[in-house]
Amino acid sequence: MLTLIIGDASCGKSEYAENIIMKQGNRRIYLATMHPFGKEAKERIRRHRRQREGKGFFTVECPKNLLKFAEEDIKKKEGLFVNSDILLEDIPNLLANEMFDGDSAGCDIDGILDGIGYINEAASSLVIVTGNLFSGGSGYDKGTMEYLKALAGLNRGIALSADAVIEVVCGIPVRYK
Amino acid sequence: MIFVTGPLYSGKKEYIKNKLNLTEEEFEGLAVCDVQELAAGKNEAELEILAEKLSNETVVITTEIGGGVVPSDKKERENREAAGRLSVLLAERADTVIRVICGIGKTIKGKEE
Repeated sequence: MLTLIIGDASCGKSEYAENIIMKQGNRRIYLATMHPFGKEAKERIRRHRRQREGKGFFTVECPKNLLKFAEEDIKKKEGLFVNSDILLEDIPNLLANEMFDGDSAGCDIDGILDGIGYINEAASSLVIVTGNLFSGGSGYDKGTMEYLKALAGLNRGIALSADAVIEVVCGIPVRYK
Repeated sequence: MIFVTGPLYSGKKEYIKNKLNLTEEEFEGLAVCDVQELAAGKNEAELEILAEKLSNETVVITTEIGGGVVPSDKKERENREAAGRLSVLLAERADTVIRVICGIGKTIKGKEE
């Protein structure tokens, strides 16, 4: 069962996604994607951690190379992803890390989609949080436009294989699929 | 008229093409795309005239551009607002309004087919 949650910044999408996982009955995995670089990132991570406190999530970090990470985990005898309820947050971060971070920078959309497919197959349920960065015009530099285009492709790709697609608006879920 | 709105790269054209079962050629003939660009530089009266004209089309598609930070450039600010107002005028005149996100359409006005 794959659910894609999309929304603007701070619309309540994370909390909504967490609550979906809370309704499931298996081991809860929080698959975090953010590099704890800089004060703002650390603060955001703290805020999300506080929000998840007491919800019983086991946090795993995968800022990039999702496919490799998933394959290695699932190969293990007691892989974390197997039969778990997993929250993957979030796609804009994961893609930015893939595209702009360090020496192996590149954009492997299919790799990310394969990784997601792999995790979804192993998991009991998978909820993915992504962002809507696409309503503020297109007056950005070339690199940013490439990033937006890749992110949109990724969002559409996930939506295509998702069982449910939900936009969160002001904390209210609006179902698209 | 069917009015289609949604964020950048959300798959609006592809969605409506599939929904109406149109070939690329038929689509080109029936749809007016990126009307947010037509709104640029127009005042209220001109936007009304534009919306009237577009309401005779079969499919009108816009890209939402009003969701970011308010631009510091005056002209960009005005164009962004004109695009938003045009969308409202078009939605009023449309029989069906569909919003597309992640390649999936949701009818927000009119009957779902």
